[in-house]
Amino acid sequence: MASGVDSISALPDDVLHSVLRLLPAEEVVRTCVLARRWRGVWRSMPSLRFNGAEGWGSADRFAQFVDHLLHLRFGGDGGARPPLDSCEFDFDADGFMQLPANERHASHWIWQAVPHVRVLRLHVVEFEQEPSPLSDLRLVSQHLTRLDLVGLSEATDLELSADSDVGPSYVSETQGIYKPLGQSVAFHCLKIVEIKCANVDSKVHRLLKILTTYGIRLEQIRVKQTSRISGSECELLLTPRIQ
Amino acid sequence: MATREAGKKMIMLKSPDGMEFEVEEAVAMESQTIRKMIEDDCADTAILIPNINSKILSRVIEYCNKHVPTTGATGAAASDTVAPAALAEDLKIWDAEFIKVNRATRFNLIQAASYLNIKGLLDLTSQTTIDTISDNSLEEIRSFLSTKNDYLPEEEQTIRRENQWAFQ
Repeated sequence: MASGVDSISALPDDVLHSVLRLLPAEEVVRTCVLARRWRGVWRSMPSLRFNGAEGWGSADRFAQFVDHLLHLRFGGDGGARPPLDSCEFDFDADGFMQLPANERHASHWIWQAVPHVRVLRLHVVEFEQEPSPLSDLRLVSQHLTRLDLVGLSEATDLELSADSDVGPSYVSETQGIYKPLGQSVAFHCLKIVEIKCANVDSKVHRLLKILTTYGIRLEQIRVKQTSRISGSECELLLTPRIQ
Repeated sequence: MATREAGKKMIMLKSPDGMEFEVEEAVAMESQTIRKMIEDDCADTAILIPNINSKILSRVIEYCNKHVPTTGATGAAASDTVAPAALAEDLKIWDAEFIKVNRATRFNLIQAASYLNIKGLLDLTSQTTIDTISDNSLEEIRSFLSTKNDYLPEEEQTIRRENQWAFQ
């Protein structure tokens, strides 16, 4: 106690989790072979981070891994567990999204994760293909409180749909697309949407417009501009003039 | 964000080995755990800090002293006049020196940062630990984490087989 710990293994699970949260998901799972203490630590990780297929040999192997892990966390009994603190998909670096098949994978993973996370962070490059994988992204969640869109400026068709468990009973029949005019059912927990982008251009403004159409108020949206020229990050806070 | 007026107020932190530390309230409030105690009015006398010995606690206070906004040797307005980028660069260099500690101290700092909920310190100590995990062999990782492999050989094989999906 007062004398302190001399091995990291002596720390409780939640402390180990806060260290491991910086690692990509596959490396977190692989800690199971370190020692008995580590066998199940990865299973209860409150955050997941997927960094793309680098180091996997093939994109298919990586896709199988993500499928397996998401199924363990969200499928079957996993669905009844408390939501994750955060889930991050970063496919920006390694060109994973260049292939249409991988785009479909990514879209599916995001769709799977959304109902089970509080914070969703997406790093996505500009897409060559039309429509972009986010075009059929349905943000259905009673848990999501924060959505970070990093480097994204092509989400022109962001769609929300109401989940039967979440919305008022009159939408329980519909699994279709829900386009509220006022307050969005799907977004009633969502507190912050953060958009990080190199430049605030017309695409970002279009995205802002879409988000506000879905009942996300302007004061919930933050735009972070990363200027590539100076290399410094400046925060452009869009404060609302109207209520 | 702590106000400058609050910066004048001092509070007492007490470690399990009986040491007492008098700290500016603004510095102590770098810890979200302590901040909450102060805000909930639990901090009228000394705040007891369990699990963290005086050696570690003094390092934690040193970290918070450096990272508390709008204070420092040059006065309260320092961060308003110095360019933020230069300030951040200065902190980065300071952090890199600060974290040059032995493994046991680092693990204790992780525990302290986690309990006291000091995000910057937790990130720093975690990242330093994570850097030793990436791109190293299993034996090296075990050694960096001061973790002894207590699996029987056949047991380790089973674990590996069960989790084959996570290995290339």
